[in-house]
Amino acid sequence: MSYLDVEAITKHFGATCVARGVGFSLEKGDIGVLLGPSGCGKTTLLRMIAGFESPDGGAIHLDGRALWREGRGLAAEARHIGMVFQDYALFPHLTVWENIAFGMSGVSRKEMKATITELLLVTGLKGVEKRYPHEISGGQQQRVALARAIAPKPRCLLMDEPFSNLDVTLRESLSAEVRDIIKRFGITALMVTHNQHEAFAMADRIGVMMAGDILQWDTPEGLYHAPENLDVARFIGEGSLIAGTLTPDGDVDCSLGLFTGMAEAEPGEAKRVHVFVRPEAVRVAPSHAPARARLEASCFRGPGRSCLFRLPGGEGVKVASHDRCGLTEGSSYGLCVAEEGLSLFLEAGGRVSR
Amino acid sequence: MNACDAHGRGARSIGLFQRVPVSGGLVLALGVAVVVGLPIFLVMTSLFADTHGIWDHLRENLLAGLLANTAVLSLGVLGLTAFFGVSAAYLTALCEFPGRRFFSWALLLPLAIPTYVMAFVYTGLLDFSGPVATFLRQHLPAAAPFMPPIRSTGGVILVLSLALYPYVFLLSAGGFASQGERILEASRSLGLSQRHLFFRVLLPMARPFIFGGLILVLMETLADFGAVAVFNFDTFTTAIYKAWFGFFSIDAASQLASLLVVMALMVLTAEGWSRRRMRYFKGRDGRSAIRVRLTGHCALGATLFLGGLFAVAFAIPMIQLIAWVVEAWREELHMGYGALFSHSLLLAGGGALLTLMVALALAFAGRTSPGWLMASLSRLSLLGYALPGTVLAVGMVRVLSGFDHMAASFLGVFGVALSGPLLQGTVWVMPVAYMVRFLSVGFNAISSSLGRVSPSMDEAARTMGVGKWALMRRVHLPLIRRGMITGSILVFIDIMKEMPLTLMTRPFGWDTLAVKIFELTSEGEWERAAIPAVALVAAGLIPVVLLVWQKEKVNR
Repeated sequence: MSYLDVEAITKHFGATCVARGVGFSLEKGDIGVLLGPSGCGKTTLLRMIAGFESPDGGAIHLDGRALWREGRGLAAEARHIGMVFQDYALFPHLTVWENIAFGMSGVSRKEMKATITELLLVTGLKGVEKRYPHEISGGQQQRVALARAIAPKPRCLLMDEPFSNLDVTLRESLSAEVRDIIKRFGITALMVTHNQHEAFAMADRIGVMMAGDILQWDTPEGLYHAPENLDVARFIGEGSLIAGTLTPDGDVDCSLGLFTGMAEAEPGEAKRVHVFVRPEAVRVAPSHAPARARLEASCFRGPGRSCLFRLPGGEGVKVASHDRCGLTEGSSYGLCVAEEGLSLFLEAGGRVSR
Repeated sequence: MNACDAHGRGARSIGLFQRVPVSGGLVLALGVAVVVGLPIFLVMTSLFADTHGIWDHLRENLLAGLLANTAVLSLGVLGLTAFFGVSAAYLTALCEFPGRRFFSWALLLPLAIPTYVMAFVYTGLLDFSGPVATFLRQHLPAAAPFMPPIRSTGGVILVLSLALYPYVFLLSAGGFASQGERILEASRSLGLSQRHLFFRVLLPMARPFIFGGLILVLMETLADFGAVAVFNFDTFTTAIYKAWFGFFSIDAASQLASLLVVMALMVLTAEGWSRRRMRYFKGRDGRSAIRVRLTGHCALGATLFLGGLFAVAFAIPMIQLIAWVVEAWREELHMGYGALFSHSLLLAGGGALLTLMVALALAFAGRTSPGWLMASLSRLSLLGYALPGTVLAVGMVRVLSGFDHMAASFLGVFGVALSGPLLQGTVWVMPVAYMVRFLSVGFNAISSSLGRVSPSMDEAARTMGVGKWALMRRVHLPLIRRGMITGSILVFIDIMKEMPLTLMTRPFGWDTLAVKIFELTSEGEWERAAIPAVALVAAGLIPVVLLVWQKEKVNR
């Protein structure tokens, strides 16, 4: 059994189903992220782990102890789970120090002081401990919320969209900082977000959640390079979908060219498949390349250029070009595709394994 | 989202079984609702009761007159308060002229003067034997016959309007101020002149607020007992009092009260509707409108108009009161005011404490077990504020005498005979009556400050292992302390000023300041009534100052 084990959780609100047998597991010290569009049920799942909602079915175990099993569970206050809320939920009548000390009970005064001092140092809050929440900046409030959740040494830390109230520039720097802090204390954490950049910056494991189900639970690299189905591929990063044919020999024929050995040979008829191409897998090549396409639009992105090419068959291909030399919109260019950047999906959405 | 598979549904029904919401909060709210609802219910049932001829007598001789009086009084007061309130609000919120800042808070001060005090000050001042009429007769005998009599329909309307216009002023000033500069700029860019702006944009946008203020005025007018009693102007409230204490017919009093309840509930419905509309009309951008600077005659006119209103509604009554106090001070001081004060303070203190505790319990119950049932129970519990004190008094007495009867027959089974009523006419039921009447005042103060404590704060505390009671002690109570203090002060002062409920439910001889004022003014002893009146006005100034202070803080 893993450290945090969530098994086959179901949950309804009236006729709406927000969890249909969701499960995943997290190893001790890892940071997991539930990533999905709003309304997919990820926050409800987090709140069920925290103990604020009761699942209709399934089980949740933490460190070998049941938090929820067979229709009954521990109260939220008995779970020893820390939580960082979207609105931080700092107590406005308490100072930063008192907020952090709020949940620390059964600790000696000396130990409490040492823990809080260390937390203040690590979170860069030294010097503001006597101020009240409304007297510090949004980023500082966020770190107070984190310190307050960590201070009682919880067995697991949950974070509900912790960065969504901050502006974009602060989000990126803070997410890296928060990951460092969590890792330094060796805490197992689970975060919920709809922002994949935050997810990539924080996570050891990411679960892509849609309509009450986790579609794939994987490392960030695994999600990006080997999406298990079409929905995950579309949701994570950018890419283009091209119609193709999978021959019984395992070769794929599409308007970007013929790719051999893409799947195991399987006797039978040729199948229609979707070919999913990441922009960085396509290169603008000399004109004798297998595929030619017209440049429809291009947009400067700093490190490179994001281009949209139109194939003769009418399909669009997104390309991340790193060439300094200019491309003219309306002209035709050759396109060269790296095989390992391709993913194949059946009509139904499932992945075709190599 | 699609519905789930059958397995999921099966699991759910098992879960539901374990989470039947039998919460203490709900039971508690039900208890409060019963205490509040029972008197109202008993009054309503008497609408169709048979009362041996007294009702026929009332209907033939009184009802038409009462209805006409009530209608004329309501319309007159509504018209006059609308004029005073809206013009003062427009001038202070959207114009700039000498004295504007002063008027923006000073015109709220009449809220501190109870209507019955305003009434007896003006009858004393303008009566045939009062100082003004005497002065005219001595120095300008030609003009004396042209002075209109104060004891007239017009007089009651004027006096009530002077005491009640601040409600309209306060709400519509808020309505005008919340409209924001953007909307005015948009209107100007569409080519509206200043005059058109007022009638096509400002007034329609402030309309829900003005309407809200007028409904409060109507509620107060229907419920008013003290002022109309001073003028001997018969309305439902005085008729209820006379039916009970004159004819000794609690049934006739209940029947009159039931008619008044119907009217009060109609007004209450209108109030809920207007409050819903107010939400939509609240301006969204933060910048408040730049005031139009009045010049020359306009500025002078505005200053004089509002100055006159302030003088008539506050300065003159206060000066007259203080003059009477100075006159009567020496001979009155030994007359046992100690007992009056201590009675008033005891009742107000006990009532405020009980109200605070019930309001706290209700607010916390609403937080811990929300839902439609809870919402409707607490709405029922807060009905008391719309009920005139006379009606509530009748209802309470019916409940108590019913209880006493039951208690007597129950104890009779065991051979115990009671020497008198257990509850009816005792001082212990008065705090309960006040609680029913003023629960909404205390509840609103507490629930609005509790509403600012976000639910995630509760959850944050729970994740840190803090239980329900510790959460209340360490998080909720410190955060709502201000609301609790404000709520109790407001209730305390409302009880001090309350007249009909006290008059009709008190034990015999248990006088308070307000009751003393009623007794003295019904004998025309204005000077002697001034001493308790000044005490009440001084107490009443506290919440008005709090209100002004809050308003200034928002403006800044």
